[in-house]
Amino acid sequence: MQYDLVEKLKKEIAGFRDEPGLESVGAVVEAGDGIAKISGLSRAQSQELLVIETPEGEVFAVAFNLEEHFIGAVLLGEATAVRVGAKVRGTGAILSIPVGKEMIGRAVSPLGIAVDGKGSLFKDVDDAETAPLERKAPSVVARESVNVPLHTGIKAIDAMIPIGRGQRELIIGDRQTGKTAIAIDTILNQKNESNRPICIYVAIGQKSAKIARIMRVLEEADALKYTIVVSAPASSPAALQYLAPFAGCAIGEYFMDQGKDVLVVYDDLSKHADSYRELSLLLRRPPGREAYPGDIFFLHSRLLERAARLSREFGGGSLTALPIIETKLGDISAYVPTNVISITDGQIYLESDLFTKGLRPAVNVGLSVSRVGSAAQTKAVKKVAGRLRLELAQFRELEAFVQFASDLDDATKAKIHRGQILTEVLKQSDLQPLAFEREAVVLYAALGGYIDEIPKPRIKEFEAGLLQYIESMQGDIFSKIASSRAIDDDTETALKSAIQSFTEVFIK
Amino acid sequence: MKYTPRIYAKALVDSLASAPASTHAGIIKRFISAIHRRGDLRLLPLITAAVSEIERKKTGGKLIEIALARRHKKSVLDAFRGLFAKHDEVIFHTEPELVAGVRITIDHEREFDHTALRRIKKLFR
Repeated sequence: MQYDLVEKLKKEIAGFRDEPGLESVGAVVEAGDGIAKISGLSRAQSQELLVIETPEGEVFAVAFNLEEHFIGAVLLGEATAVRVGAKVRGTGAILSIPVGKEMIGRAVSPLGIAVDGKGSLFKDVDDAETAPLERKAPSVVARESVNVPLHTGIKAIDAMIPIGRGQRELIIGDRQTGKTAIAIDTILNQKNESNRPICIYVAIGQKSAKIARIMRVLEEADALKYTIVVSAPASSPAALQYLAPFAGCAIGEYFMDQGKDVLVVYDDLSKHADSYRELSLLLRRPPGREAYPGDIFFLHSRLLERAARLSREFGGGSLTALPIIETKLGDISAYVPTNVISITDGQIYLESDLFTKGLRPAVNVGLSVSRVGSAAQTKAVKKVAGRLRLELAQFRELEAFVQFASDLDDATKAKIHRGQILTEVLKQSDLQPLAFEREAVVLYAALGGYIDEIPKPRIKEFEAGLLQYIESMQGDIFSKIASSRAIDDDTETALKSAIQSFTEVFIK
Repeated sequence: MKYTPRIYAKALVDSLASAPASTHAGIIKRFISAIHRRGDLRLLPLITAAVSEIERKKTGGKLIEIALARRHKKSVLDAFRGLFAKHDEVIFHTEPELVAGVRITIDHEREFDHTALRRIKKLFR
């Protein structure tokens, strides 16, 4: 054993080539709070990776502020090891992380280091490809319009706020309204998809326990085999929380460039903005509104602009972004929420009141919108859910009169009843996403009036029974809709008769 | 407002330049009491370094720091000194941890490291 080690070392020494040359160096003049002020290195570039030599080893830092005499750098490693006078070397490289298919099924830090205790990601990290954390968004020429759906498995969303691959759809709402649940359901639902995207869940400033729970949920649902978790928990330094979404995006771009579809969830960008504010204040950048730095809009726009659907000439891959924003007391007009609303292609607005009333997912249909997704909506769902938004809007108008239902005319009563039925049908538990063909069947039954006679408390039972009945008795209906992604006349006739026969049995 | 070492250094250099040599001792004394009053006495080494830099820049000189692993004869040091221009300020350090070789730093910004320590570090990185 010892002999082997000596021989190996001798070989390494024999092949060792060292050409000393002039290098750029600097020195730490101030250090603290995860920030270092460095003199020298006048040729350093913005976002360059720097190496600080400390007695405990090398600590990496990123050049943030390039001033006349100093560089403000953000420390990425053990900040306590950095002392005044420590030597700093420039690497000439922009911050990048190793990427590869080995990352799938793993939890990694924003620096691309495995954090799930399952060993290192790559056999040899030097052989792994690297991706820069900051990259220019695809150009207009490289893009194609969004035309492939990304099914969330949530009836209310797929029917009324459809999301397309390459879209940026914001999930916004107060705390405890089910924002993360929607994102996780969307990841879980990809298991049902034939052209399954690779999913990346970026946890920014979340509790470690929550991240562990999400990992467990994904593992139990067998969804980890196509998912990567980028973890920057609340206990990690602000620098890592700031880098996390860029790392997630860089990993996503690696797969997108290979022509694959990718879904990236940024949970959440409010905490990301907070970590950037912390860094900016420590670096003494001038504070603006709500003490955020002036470039907070650019921070999120440059991140979300990297979501795209590439044209065939550029590989045809896509990167769908689902950023999450947490509002305070439902205030969507705060600084960061309005910024991200204006950047994204739509938003799913979740309301505390709806959540406490038991309407889950607590999607406010009036305030939620998808600006580009309707072009990508699956024909089968589009056909059945076309009237859904209108019927629900009419119901909301009349909802106030529910208490006086006995004094209303029959048409109004029918509209209210239909609204109540649809509201009940759109309720869906978390971790139970539905494949789109099943969504289409349930919505067809509800909007076709087949459920009108079912008492409200039995609607969930009816829904489960109907799906089970069609699965076991007329399974080809599901397979036909799944393959053609539409409901043709023959399928519709078969579906109608299946629903009618099941309803008769169910009511009896 | 806090003054940076560079501002202090520039003020001192300008004051010394505009006054006759006989008054220089008094100027320096008053300068030190001024930085003491402001509680910036800890900046004195940085101010001194900044003054040297300003003076060097006037002549286009550079600060050359040469670190060697052990003490050398004057002839060896003179040979090193001869490599640089007359108005460059050459300072020698002895750093045994370098093991062997020489490390030359120019203006704290550029470094030529030809030491055994660097090679060993690179070999085991």
